[in-house]
Amino acid sequence: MSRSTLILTFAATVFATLALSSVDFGHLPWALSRAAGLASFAALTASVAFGLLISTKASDGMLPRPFVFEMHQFLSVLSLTLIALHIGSLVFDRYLGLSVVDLLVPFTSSENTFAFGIGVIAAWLTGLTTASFWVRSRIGVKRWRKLHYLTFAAWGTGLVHGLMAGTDTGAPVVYWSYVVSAALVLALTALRIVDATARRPAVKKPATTGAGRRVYSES
Amino acid sequence: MAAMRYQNARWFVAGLTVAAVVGGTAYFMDEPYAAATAEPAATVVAPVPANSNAASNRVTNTTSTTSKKSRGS
Repeated sequence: MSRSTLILTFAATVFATLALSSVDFGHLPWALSRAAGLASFAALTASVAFGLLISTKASDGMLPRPFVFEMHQFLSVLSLTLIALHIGSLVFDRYLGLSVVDLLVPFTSSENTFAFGIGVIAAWLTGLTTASFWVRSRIGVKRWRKLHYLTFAAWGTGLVHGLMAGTDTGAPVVYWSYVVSAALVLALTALRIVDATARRPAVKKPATTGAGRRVYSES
Repeated sequence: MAAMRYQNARWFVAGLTVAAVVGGTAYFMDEPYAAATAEPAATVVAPVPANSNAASNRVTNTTSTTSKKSRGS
């Protein structure tokens, strides 16, 4: 799909959403938003997990690296699409009555301000980190890597949003899926930190000789 | 190149996601709308029997559960 087709599709979707926003679809938008919200968090968790598998090399020997990278990128885009569906369907929901501004600007909704606001932040962060895949060569790897760390913030705020605002958090299946997701990401992050610490070369302390010259110890 | 190689995996994940969203939506559609969205229901107060009066409804148990110790000095 070319870039212009993608932009046209996006523009058409936004236009159609706004044009149909006054139509009453009953509680279909509400049900769709809940399903898309849960699916988007699952996809985001899987994407983060695949990303950590790349950096920790934990899946080397089990899964081909190009496959892991491909899944990481694809799941990130999939997650963003599902987030758009989650937010877009709420435009048609009559019960919550959230406006487009409430759905796009953090902490503007009058109800459940913090929980909804943090969800909006999670959506923007996911969008930013996903978009960064395509500007990597332009902004440079170092800057891209720093930007990519925002994925952790996106995932964390998404989890908090799900726990605080999710209608289905009380359901055992949803609650335990959050627990398993958190355990998976935290375990892989811990592995990443340990791995990065172990790989960092030991800093050689300069020692001073009697003559005032600095020599570097061998150890 | 890798994108083409793993096209089947991408289709599989996309299909699984569509099935999950459609299935989830159908599941949530079966729920009563009010039950899913409404605030917790208010405590239902039992109706007062027709032959009762205000005095008979009054709580007569006067046993105190608070000891002197717990009340503090």
